Amino acid sequence: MKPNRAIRTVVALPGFVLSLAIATEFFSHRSNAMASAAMTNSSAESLSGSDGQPRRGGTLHLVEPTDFRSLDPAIAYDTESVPIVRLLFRGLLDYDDGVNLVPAQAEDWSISPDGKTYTFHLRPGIRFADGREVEAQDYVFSFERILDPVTESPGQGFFTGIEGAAEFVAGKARHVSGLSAPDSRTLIIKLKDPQFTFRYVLAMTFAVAEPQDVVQHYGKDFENHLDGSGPYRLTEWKRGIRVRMARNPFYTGPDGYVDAVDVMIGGDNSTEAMMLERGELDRVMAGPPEAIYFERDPRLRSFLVPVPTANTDYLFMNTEMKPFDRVLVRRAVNYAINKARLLRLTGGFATLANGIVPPAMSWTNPGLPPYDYNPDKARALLRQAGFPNGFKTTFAYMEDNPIYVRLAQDIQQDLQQVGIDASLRPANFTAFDLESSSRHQVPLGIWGWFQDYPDPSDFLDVLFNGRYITPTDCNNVAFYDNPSANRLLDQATASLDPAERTRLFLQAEDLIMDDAPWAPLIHEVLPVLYSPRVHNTAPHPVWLWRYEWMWLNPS
Amino acid sequence: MNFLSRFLTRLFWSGVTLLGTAVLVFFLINVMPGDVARIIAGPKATPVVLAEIHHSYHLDEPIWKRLGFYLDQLAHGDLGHSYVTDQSVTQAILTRLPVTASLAATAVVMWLLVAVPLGVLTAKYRGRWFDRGVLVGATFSLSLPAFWLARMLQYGLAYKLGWFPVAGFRGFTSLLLPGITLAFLFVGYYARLIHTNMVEVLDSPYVRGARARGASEATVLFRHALPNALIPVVTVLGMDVAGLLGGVLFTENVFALPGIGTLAVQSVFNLDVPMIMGTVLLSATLVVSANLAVDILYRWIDPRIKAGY
Repeated sequence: MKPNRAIRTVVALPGFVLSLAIATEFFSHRSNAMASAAMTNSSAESLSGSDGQPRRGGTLHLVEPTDFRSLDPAIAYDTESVPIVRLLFRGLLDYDDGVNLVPAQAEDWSISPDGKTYTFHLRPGIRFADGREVEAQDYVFSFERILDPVTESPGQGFFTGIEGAAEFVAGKARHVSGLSAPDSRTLIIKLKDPQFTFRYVLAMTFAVAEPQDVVQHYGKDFENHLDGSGPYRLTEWKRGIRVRMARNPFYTGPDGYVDAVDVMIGGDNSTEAMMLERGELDRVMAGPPEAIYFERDPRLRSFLVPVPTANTDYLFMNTEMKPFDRVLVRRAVNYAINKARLLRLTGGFATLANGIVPPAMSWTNPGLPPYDYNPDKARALLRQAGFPNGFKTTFAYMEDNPIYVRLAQDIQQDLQQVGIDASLRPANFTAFDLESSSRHQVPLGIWGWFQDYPDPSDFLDVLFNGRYITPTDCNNVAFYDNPSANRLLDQATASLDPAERTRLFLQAEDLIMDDAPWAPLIHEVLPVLYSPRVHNTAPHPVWLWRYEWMWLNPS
Repeated sequence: MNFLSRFLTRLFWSGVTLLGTAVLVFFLINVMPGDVARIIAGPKATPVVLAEIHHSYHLDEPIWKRLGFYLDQLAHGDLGHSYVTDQSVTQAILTRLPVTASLAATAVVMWLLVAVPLGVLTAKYRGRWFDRGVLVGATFSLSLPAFWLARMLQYGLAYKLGWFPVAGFRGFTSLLLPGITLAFLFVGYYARLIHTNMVEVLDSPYVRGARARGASEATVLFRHALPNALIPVVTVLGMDVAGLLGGVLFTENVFALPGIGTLAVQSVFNLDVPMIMGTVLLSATLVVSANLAVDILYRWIDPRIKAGY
């Protein structure tokens, strides 16, 4: 084929790029110097085998592509804003380096033998950033504020198990009867029924102390006048432009290392990665191309920290819709998917999901029924189910997430191999969310779930207990309802004995996987890039990253 | 028809255009499926909280009523609140407008500083190698896509060479590279526009008259010819500055500048309806008012138009 005019123009443009690249390579030395510095640093670290002596001081430079919705602890509810809220606010309980609860602002705490009454004594001398002492009444106020529908808190549902919460929410009571502060340092929380996971709820950033006087003074505008009892205080929040935080002079807990935290708003993955490499930023989230680029370059490899997340991305089959109401069909789909290839599609930034509960939750289930990649078995099961020639269906997924797009296209081919003709139907987040959470709408689709707290109930009970099925806004998108599973889940969630709970949840997971309403796909691993001057970047199983523990090389 | 009534008629139609835009965009965006309350409150929101959000954002009302609420808000100068950041849309636009305005100003100054001398000199030396060289360069600059050029300059001059900050907004230096990007896209067009007008003006009798009187070449070019050659440029410049929002959309995003362009793109990605409406209306207002301003300015600069010559 002869080149036409359009092709000649296309050739001219790369010519310009090439000359620009040659010129810049010729002049370039700074970024290489930076990368060599990183290499020296990483080899020094590998020699000493540690991060060295932690150092106080400096400003940690972070970036967010979009501004936070809110840093008000009653509202903030995503993996990016929660670590920032943790800098500004602290609650009664926290996690150690793993998933064990430790007291934070509580000096001591106890749970009554019936599992219904939680008693906390606050440490003396804890203060908000304005200098006022934190009182137990502030906790009562903060929890009531979350329950109040006017606050529009996404975490309201976590607190509705408190005695008297329903009456308060319905407007029949002015206060929640289960919350009381007999003196300024004692907080008593009474639950309607025993609830093992409530202790984890108390470690979430929803459950921190907010200063009653300040919140009442500013009302909804409190988010612009945040005043918390965390290690840092907000010094500037120019919406859409930047957030700045400095040390809270009144903080008495274990101090953060850096003097200040600066969050720039804006940018995309590749711009941010370039800024990081040039020393303009200290931490950025990488997209798949940047992650692979950093991983392959020996000079840059030490910048990359893979953060395993307690998440599961899954293929759901609507058990109320034909032909996925047949367990044989659902099992066939499980056997049809080549998960090892899916893993390669993510550039290695994922682990294979064999079960529902992510292993990052310190969870191992050896009893899961294995669904290896076996197209012959899948075809045999389909024949047995009465579909010797396969069937046609629609396969919905959310197009906003590039990983879901790749997974969907790949799985479509796998399904084709066993005779399932699935036509792809991409949708944006809102449309997909609306349809998949409504009954009889989406027969087959991809979705994911992140943990709220490290307890298997957060996956198994929330997503599979058939008693919670609603016609719309239902998180059980497979609409799976098995009375035996429901019974196991009810018993497990009601139990207060950790060993018994684990046993029951393991049984429930085995049963659900055998019924196969899902084909679990992957657990995502987030590629995060850190500047070589940042230390203590090891991921945390719940908080993912803890900025207050990071320290910086002298600049 | 006298000037005042002509102006009032134009003003009326400008208002109608804006109202039409508002209604059209409102319907286009509101036919998208999905429940905003779930975006706002997340997957674990209780029905009580979802109902509260529906109520406070008027989502439980029929669409014509919501349009009514929206237009009523608009009439009071309130563009509503962002679904994603809960910030007032007016506030968000006002915080970001200075960044975009300074970027636009930097770019305009840059491209005029280059385009005016280029236009004048290529007119003087028309047909020579210099003129042809600029013509080729101008065609090249005109054909470059904004996002591509922004990325290339960012990669070469900021990331590799370190002459400029890669991205972000830390004062005037952060505007230089985005300014150069925008200027690069426009400089060729303006150099040619000024060239064409200069060629025409240089042939006119009054320029020949000035030369005959013995005026120096610089005086002829810059005192006599240029001011007249710039008249049509004013019109185009007015429209371009208003339309620059299209250019800053890519440039601001690549350089992570917290301006209107970044806001617009982020709102589209986040399906933030009130913010999308706000940026679209701002852009429409800019174009409509630039049209109006240019119309008035033109009559003032060039009395021949008013006189009807």
